[in-house]
Amino acid sequence: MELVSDSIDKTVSLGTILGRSMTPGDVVCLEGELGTGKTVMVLGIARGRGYAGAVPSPTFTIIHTYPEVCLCHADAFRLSSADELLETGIEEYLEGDWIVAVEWADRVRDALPGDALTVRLAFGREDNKRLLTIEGTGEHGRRLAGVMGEVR
Amino acid sequence: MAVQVLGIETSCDESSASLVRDGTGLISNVVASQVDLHRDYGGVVPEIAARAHVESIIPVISEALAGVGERPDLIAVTVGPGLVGSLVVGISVAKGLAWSWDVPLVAVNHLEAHAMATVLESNALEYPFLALVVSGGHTVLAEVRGVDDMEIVGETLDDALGEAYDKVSMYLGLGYPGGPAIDRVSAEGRSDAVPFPRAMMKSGDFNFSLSGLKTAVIRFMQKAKREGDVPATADVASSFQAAALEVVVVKTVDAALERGLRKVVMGGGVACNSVLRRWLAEACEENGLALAQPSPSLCTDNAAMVASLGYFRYKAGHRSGLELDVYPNLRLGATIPRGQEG
Repeated sequence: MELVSDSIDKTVSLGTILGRSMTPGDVVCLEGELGTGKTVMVLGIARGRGYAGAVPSPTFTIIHTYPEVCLCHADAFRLSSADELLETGIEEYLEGDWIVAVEWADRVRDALPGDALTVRLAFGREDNKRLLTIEGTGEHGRRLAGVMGEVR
Repeated sequence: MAVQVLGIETSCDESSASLVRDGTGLISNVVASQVDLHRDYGGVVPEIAARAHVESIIPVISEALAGVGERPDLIAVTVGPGLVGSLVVGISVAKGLAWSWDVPLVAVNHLEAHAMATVLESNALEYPFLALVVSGGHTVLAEVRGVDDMEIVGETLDDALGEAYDKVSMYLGLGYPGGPAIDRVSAEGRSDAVPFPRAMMKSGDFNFSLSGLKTAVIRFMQKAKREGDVPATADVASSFQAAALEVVVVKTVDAALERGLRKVVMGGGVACNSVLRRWLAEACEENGLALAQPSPSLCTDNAAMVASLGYFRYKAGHRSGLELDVYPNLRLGATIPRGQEG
């Protein structure tokens, strides 16, 4: 399924819709080049969970957690294998009552569950346009894909 | 009696140990950098970082203590923020040494150490002042009123300054680490070649946003390639740098003025950037602000700043027990949980 965003605000609102529908154990895999809006999408998810603060990029520290809303925000930009993500202790969040959003998930796919929602972001032709390809696998993933399907 | 402090720092890609007397007397400052290991990846790889720290930390400590006959009187160690696996190496060694030497242990916040590093060259810090800490993982403005009294005035809402440098540098094919690469190349470019946005300049607060600038550079290059009219890399790099640093300089000066602070202190790896140093010096002078710019070796990650702040925290009554933990997401000014301090 594909969605189009024509602004940062729109990408945030798509993330917010997703965040509102997420339940513990849900995993969102974010893929896409630098600058396509992966962190913006997670900002939206955090808003959907009711978190009002800043959601900075976790590129440096790999994992940021927001315990108030049980959100784990990971970033594999600097990683080259699934083992390296596992070394950071992400299993604690994947197996607990957290919702987990992972940027650059394609670099560490083997460390993440098969049951997940994958959002691929790509640049559109106009400056602010982004194309989102959404695919859900497994019980959690398909439910979330269904939620996004109603956005159209 | 003089207090000799062994500082240990392993929060990111530098394993470092340092011996400092009474908070300001630098005896040794040894840094083993993993930059070469990381260059191929365009960033810090935590697994490599943790493994390399394990291999280098003991030789680094030995070298820092070489020539000193006695054990130190105190051990100071970084507990966060940083990469969890890397931090654990530092505090494990610190705890082992504190136990075997029977000396006290004190926990240090890496960001606060950056904010206070200048004391190693000025011998005394006059509070209050405004600290600008800019690095790969952090972009923070803080009012520092004392060793236990620091408040965040502004910070990045998305990418850190050093992260933006690294990502733009990688995109432009200039390599890692991006800070020195862009600083070098920009000297040959025109900073007004591309009018990149000055994000958050009029946001009415002291926060930063660098993600949009990174995206603007990428979109500009995509369009330029499509139209077959790609400007010199030096011009793009220089224009990016000007857009990023202009906002940092203006907000730093404005924050100091609004808070009535007469002094600005720089810290963090990006504080080595020659253009940032020059522009901030000019802006501070124009506004009658004093400015402390530590030497580059005290701006990048180092254990001397940890030993120094550890001494002042010890003097303020802080101690840590052997159950000390790491805090990967520790914020500047945050209390390190009391339960961890014996």
